[in-house]
Amino acid sequence: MIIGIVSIILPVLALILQCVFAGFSILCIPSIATAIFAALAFWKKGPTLALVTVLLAFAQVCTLNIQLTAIIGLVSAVVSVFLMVDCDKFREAHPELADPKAATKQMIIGFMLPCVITLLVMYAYPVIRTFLMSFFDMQNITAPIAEWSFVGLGKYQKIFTSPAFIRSLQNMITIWIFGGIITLALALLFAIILTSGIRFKKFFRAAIYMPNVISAVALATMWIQYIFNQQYGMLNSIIKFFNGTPLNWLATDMKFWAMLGSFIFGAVGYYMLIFISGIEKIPADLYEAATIDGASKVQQAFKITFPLLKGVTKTNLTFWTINTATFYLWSKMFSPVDTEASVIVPVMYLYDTAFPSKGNTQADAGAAAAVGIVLAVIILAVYLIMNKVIKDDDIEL
Amino acid sequence: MAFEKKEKLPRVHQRINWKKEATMLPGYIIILVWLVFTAAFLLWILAASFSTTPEIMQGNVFKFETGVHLENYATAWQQQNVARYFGNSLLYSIVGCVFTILISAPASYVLSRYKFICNKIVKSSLIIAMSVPAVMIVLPIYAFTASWRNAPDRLIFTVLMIFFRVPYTTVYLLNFFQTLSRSYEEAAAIDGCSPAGTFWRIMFPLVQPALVTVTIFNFLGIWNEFFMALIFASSQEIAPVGVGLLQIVNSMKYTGQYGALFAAVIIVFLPTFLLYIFLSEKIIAGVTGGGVKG
Repeated sequence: MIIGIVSIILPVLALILQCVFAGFSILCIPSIATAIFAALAFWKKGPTLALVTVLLAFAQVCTLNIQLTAIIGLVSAVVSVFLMVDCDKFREAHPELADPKAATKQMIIGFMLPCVITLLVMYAYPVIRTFLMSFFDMQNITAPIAEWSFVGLGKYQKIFTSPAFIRSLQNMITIWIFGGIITLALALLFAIILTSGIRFKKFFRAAIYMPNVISAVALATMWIQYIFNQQYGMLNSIIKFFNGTPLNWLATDMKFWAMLGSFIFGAVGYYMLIFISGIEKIPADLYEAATIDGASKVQQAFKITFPLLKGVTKTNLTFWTINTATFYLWSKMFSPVDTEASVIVPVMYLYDTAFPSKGNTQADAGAAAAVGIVLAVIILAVYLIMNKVIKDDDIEL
Repeated sequence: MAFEKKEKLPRVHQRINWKKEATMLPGYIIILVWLVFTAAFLLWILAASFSTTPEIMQGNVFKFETGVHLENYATAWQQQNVARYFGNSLLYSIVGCVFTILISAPASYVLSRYKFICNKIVKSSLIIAMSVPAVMIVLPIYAFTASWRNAPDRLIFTVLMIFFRVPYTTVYLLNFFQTLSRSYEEAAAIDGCSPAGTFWRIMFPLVQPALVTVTIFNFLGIWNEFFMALIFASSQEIAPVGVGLLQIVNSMKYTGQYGALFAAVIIVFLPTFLLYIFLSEKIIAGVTGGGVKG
């Protein structure tokens, strides 16, 4: 009882304070919504409505802009949690109040609402706005839509005539083709070795996948500061051991390949796991029959494994494409301060266009959005082409 | 998984078949070369984190001639702000994981077990949302979070991380809710439990293994997040470990403390590495088990 009343009063209090100190604005909406939902939850004793209240109260904390009101919002979020528990207990004590159909309906709405809000706020609206932005010119990213001026395909023209963007596309394609061939070949090789009945399979598998779970920034730092280091690095130590001349691995012409090599090292494990899952779906009796007929391991790989891995290869190619199109972290780590042409990739170009770090360059949000759209189109196109070319005629045995 | 059972059956005291092992020698060699390389460079970094800068420069990190320098860790932790980055990342990851589950699990339950209008549409939008690259959404999100600049930045980033993980988590859990038997709900309804109560008391605990797996992935995802962090949480006070480490590397030119740098790398590397040592089976089964997005 008390909990219910408090959970209604708190957001109202936050709302009043907000209005007094900062004036009424769009930011007040979560407070109002929290109060309404708390009232509904209290009145109808619905734990689901109370769950919505909890999430709204959390939203309220994020939007309130005075510390005092934010604290009140936080308290109201906590109280709303208790409201949820309280409602449930009340329900249990009075089962006769429950109307199963209405309760189910209420639950569906309550459970779906946060998820649908997420989709709309985080995905639908931003994607549409990015699409629109790419056809407009604007002062900065935060400019309201009213201040945009339409330029048609002007932004696309601008990025495709920019040497930096063309260079970034070239780099991306190089990563996609060379990196893709090496990564997928290594992944497939490891997958075949690991599924051929080798000992310590689980340990090997876990060790090869390991770079995927650790922070890529830490991994990149290890490569740059140790392996490629000119003075004490691993590669140069090996070269010195064989009396060769040490190289500068991070010189402009080497940098791209150094980056690609270290990126591949981290990426292989993931694609290997997907290949392994594909190989393990192939029925074992195929191999037994082949062994009885005298086929060697290599023959088995070419005649049985590869043809039956089409579907999995498609999955891997799709992920590789997404991975390359959104490639950013490694480029940033290899040119941490100023973007260097040798390692520039489209996302990096996008970042520099939207948030220029140097004072003399003008931010161009429209062009940045156009880059985003181009990347999305590339991913979509590769996906569709792959679906056409590689038919999913997997094993139906 | 089915294939793991298959593996265990013939393992009853099999003697090593040396002839069979010999045919697989090339395989062993390839894998071992890869592993030795990985181990060598991880060990070197670990040793370097206990050495002084001159020792690192001369390449003598394994000798420990001047002793083990634990103070590198103290320098990294305090002077180079790693403590703050670490705390930030911990906060983002834990809060993010909890709220992602609170939003996703109920939605996933309803989507997989009830028929209602828009069910199909929401499901396919979730799958599309999973593969929308971050570059497509950051600009507008930056624009509308800019109007909340008064709100604490930490909260904005946390909320973004939660929203960012919701589609993946919801889709991942769909299969697990689908496989549960209808009889649980029927029995609960007869006993007078409300539908929502049934979910929280019965169905939610039943999918606990899946919740654990997906939470591990969410934790790794948020801990390792870099692109969004660079845009929304790049200032010193609120940066997570990834962005923090980049800042440390950038300031290396002025500080020149290589020992502390490697100590910082180890500190950032350890939490997810330890998690992986204990949970690698679960993580690997999860990668190939559910829908996948790194």
